[in-house]
Amino acid sequence: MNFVHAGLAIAGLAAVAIPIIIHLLFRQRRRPIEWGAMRFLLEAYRRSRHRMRLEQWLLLAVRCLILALLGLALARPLLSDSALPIGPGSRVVYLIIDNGVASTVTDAAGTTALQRHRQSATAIINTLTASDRVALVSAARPIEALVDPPAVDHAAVLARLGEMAAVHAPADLDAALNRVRESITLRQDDPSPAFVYLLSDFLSGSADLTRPLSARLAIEGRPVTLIASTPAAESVRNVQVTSIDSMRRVALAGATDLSGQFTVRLRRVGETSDEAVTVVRLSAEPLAAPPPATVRWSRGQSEATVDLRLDLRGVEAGEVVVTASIDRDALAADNARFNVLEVREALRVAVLDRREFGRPGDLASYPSGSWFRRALDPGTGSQISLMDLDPASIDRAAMRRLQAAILTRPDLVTDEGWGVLGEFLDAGGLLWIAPSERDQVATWTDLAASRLGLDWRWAREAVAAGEGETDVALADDQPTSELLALLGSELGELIKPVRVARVLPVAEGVEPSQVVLRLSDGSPWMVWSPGGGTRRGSVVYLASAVHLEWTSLPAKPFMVALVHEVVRQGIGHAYQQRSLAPGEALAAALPFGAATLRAPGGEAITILDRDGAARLDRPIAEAGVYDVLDERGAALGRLGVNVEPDAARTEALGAAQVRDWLATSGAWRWLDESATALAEQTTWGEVSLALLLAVLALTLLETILARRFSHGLRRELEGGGLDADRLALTSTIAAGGRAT
Amino acid sequence: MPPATPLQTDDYLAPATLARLGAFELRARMIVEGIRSGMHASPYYGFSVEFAQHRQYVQGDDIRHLDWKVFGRSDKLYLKQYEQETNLDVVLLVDSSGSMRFGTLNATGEDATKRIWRKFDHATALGAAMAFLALQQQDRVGMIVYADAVRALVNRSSAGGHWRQIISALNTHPVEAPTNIARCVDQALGKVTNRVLFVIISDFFDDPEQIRSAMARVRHRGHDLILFQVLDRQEMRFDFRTPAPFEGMEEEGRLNLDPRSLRQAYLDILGEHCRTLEKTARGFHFDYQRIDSHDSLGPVLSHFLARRMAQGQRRRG
Repeated sequence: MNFVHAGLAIAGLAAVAIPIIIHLLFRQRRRPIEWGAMRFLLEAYRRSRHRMRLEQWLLLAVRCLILALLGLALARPLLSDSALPIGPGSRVVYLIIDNGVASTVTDAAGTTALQRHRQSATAIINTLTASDRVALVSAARPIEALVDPPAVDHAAVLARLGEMAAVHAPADLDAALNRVRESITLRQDDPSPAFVYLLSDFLSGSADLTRPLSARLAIEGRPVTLIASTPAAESVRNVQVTSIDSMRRVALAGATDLSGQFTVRLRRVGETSDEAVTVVRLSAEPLAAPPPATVRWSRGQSEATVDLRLDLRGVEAGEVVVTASIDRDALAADNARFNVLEVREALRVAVLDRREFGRPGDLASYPSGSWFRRALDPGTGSQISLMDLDPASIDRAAMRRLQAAILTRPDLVTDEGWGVLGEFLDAGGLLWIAPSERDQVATWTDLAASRLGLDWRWAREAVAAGEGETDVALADDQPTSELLALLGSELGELIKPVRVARVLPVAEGVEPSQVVLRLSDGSPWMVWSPGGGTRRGSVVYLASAVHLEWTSLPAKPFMVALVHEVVRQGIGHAYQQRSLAPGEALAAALPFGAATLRAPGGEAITILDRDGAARLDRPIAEAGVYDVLDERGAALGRLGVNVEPDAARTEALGAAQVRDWLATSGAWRWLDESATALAEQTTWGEVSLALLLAVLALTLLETILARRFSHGLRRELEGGGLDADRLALTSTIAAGGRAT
Repeated sequence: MPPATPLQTDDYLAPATLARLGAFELRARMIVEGIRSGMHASPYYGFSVEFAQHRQYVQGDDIRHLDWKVFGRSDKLYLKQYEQETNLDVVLLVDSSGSMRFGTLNATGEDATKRIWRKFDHATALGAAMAFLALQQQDRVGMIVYADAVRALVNRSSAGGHWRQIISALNTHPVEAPTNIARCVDQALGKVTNRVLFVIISDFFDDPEQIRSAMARVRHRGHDLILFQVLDRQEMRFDFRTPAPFEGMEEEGRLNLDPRSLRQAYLDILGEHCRTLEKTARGFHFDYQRIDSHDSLGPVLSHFLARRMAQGQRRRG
C-alpha cells in the first residue's frame, strides 16, 4: 500500500501512543485518596476486575484505532488492485512522465514540458471510469514508481502527479518502460488490458535513439498498448555550459601561477544556423569576478571555449566555489556549472628515504632522496612543506597529514609499512615510487603490488636501458597524460637532454593509458595508476632511481618541472573525483566522516554506509553546490553537482525516428490530445472517505462505550447512592422503631 | 471565631458546629447544651424500667406485681418481673480503628484552620451525648475505646465527676489498626457481671460473622445491645468522578482504579454488608441505627430515645 502523504500515516500510527502516554502521565500525577471502606472496594475490585480490564482494553483499542485510522485517512492511501474487487471490464493505465532535465525546457508562454505532460496525464485520468486502475512512473534517473501497483483512487494519483517535480537528472525512457513491463508481468493473472502512456517531448536529452529500445511490452496473454505523446516538432535553441576546468585541481594560497585559470566550454544546441552572442561570467565568492568573456557564435558553430582567470592572491586556504554561468535561456538548468577549487596553504610532501650522515663526495654519489628534496624545495618561498620519514618505520599518524609521499628506498619498507602506504592511497594520497640506486635485485615488488592494489608486475632485476647502448633518451613523441598536461609544448624541449642508463622496468600489467613517459625504445619509463574504486589516491612509478648512475634526470631542468607537476597534478586528481551528477545515488570519494549532503535549498540528504560504499538515502535531484557535513553537522567541504550536458540537449528527434525506436516495443500509437481534455477532478479518494467514515463510527462507539463503562452511573450518582433505596430494611426499621 | 448568627437548638449537635471547636472539652459542653436545650421538645424518661419476664406466683410473693391481665385471660397467677429498675448500667464501646479516621465534611475552625469532621469525631460526640443522658438518669456509665483491642477503659460509675472522665477518655485519636469487635466485646463481657446495656458506636467494617458471633455472646449473657453504625456520606455515595489511587486506612494497600466503573459493585457490597448487620441485630432483638456523619446528632438521638420510650411504655402497659 502506498500513501500520498506517508508522513501522516506514520504520524497516525505514532499517535496511537498518545492515549497510553496520557494515561501513564496522569497516573503518576494523581494524589492517592485515603479510603476507610477499603475492604469493600477491594472486594468490589476483585469481583469486577475481569470486566473492568476488558472494558479498559476495549476502550483503549477503540481510541488507538481512531487515531491510527485518522492518520491513515489523512495520509490518503493508494490501494492496490488486489485489495479491492475490480470488475472484469476495468483497464490498467500506466503513466510514464518524462521529468528529466530536458523536461524543464520552457516554451514562449513560459510553460515547461513537464507541466504539459502533467496536464495530459490529468486529462487521461479524468477520462477513466471508477474501476480503472492507474500507476504512475517518473522517467528521470533513477526510475521511480510513484504509484504502483495500479490504484483505483484516481484523486490520490492526481495528487501524486501534482507533486511530481522536474529532476536535473537525465531521463531514461527505456528503463521506465522496462519498469512498467515488470509491473505488468507481476500481474499476469490479471486479464485486464493495459495501456502504457509515454509522455515526453522526445528531445535528444530524453531519449538516446542510437541505442535500440530494450523494453518489450508485448506480453503473452495480456493485451498491452503503448501510447506515446507526439514528439516535439522543432529543436529548442539552448546554450549549455558543458564544463569548467581549472588548470590545477588544487591551488596554493596566494599563488600567481596558472592555478586561477579556468577553461569554460560551451555548446550550442538546437538552431545553430545563425550568428549569436553569449556572455560568459566567472564568479567565486569572495573573490572579485573577472571581466565577462563574450562568445560570438558564427553560423554552424556549436562549440566554443573561453579562458577566464581568477585572481587568487589574498585567498585563504579552504574551498572556493567557482561558477561559470551564461544568461538564462529556454533551459536554465545547464546555464551554470560549478567547480570546487581546493586552496591549500602548502602541499605536505614526505620523502621516504634513509638519511646518510656526512656530506656526499660528488654529484655522482648524491642519493636519490636528496635530489627529490632539492627539486621540491629549489629555493625560498616554496609552498611545499617537506618532511622526511624513514621507510623502515613509516608513521601512520604522520602519513595522515600528507598529500604526497616519494618513496626512494622501497627495499627498506616492511610488510606493515606497505599496509600503511595502502591506507594512505585509500585516503587519497599520491605515492611516487622510484627504485633504490642500491637495488640490483628487487625483492619488494610483489608485496608492493599486493598491498597497493596494483596489477603491475615488476622485473626482478635492474637492467641496462635500451639494447647495448650506453644511454637511452626519452621518446620524442610522448603520450598525452593529465599528469604533465600543463607542460604542454615545452615537454619536448625539457626531455631532450635526459638520458637513462638503467631501469627496473614494469614487466607486465601496464595499460597504454597509464604510461606517462616513454623511452626511445618504446618501453615505459614513468607509469601512473590513477585512483579508482575504494582507492582514491594514485601511484606513480619512475623506472629509474633518481641517481646519476641511473639517469641524468636529476641534473637536468626537467627534474624540477617533473617533480612539481607530478606532485601537484597527482594530488589534484584525487580531489577532482569529488563530483556528482543529479540522479546519482552513490556518492563516491566523499571526505572521510561525511554523513549528510545539504542541498542549495537546505534539504538534507543522508549518506548511508552500505558495504563500504557511500549511498544516498535519496537521489540528488538538483544541480548546485552542496555542503558536505559530518555527523555533528560540521562542514567537511563542498561538492559541485552539475547537469550532464547530454541530458539537457534539446534537439528534436523527429517523429520518424521516434516511431522506428518505439516500434520494437510492440503495439503502440500516438496520443490524441484532443480526446483527453477534460476538467480536473479534485474530490477526495474513496478509500480516505471510507476510512473517515470508519473513524466517525468508531468515535460514536467510543462515546457510547465510555458512557456505558464509566459515565453510565451518573443517573445513580445523582440519585444519592446507598441511602436512597438500597437499604430498604434500614428505612423500615427507622420508620417502625426497634427491630422485632 | 463565634458564629455570625445565634445558634438554634439543632445547631448545637450539628457536625458543622461541633467541628469548629477544636478542643473536645468544648465540644462536650456544646453537646450538653444541645441536649439540655432540646429536653422540652423531646420528653425523656430514661433507659430503665425494663420488663424482663413472667414467673408463676408462689406463696409469699408481693401481690402488687401480679399481672391481672394474664390472670383474667388464663385464670393463672403470674408475676411481672423487672430488671435493674433504677440503676441500669450502660457501657459505651467506641471504635477508634483506622477506618474511623475517614471523613469528608469540611469545616473552618474557630482559629480559622480547616478541619475535617471524621467518623470518629461523630462517634465520640455521640458517645459523649449518650453518656451524659445516662448519667442524668443516675445510671452507671462505663466507656471502652477500642480498635483491634481495648485502647482505653473507664469503669462504670454514676458519680458526679464521672462524665468528665468519660470525656477525657474520648479525647483521643484513632489508630491505624483494623477493627476487631468480637475480641473487644469479649473483653468487655469479662468485666461485667450484672446486666448491662452495651452501646457500640462503630462503622462495623469487620467480618459479619465475627460481629454476629459477638452479638450472640452478648445475648447469651442476657445483656442488651444498641448498634450505632456511623458512616460518612461519601462512603455511602461513592461519587468520585476521576480515576485515582485509593489507599486503605487499615493497611489494606493501594488500588488504582476508575471509581465510576466500580461504584455499582462497591455500593452493592456495602449495602449487602449493612443489610446483613441489620438482619443479624434484628435476629437478636437488638437495636440498630445507621448514622450519616454529616447529619446532626440531635434528630438521631431524640428520634432514637423517643422510640425506646414508646417501646418501654407499650411493654409496661
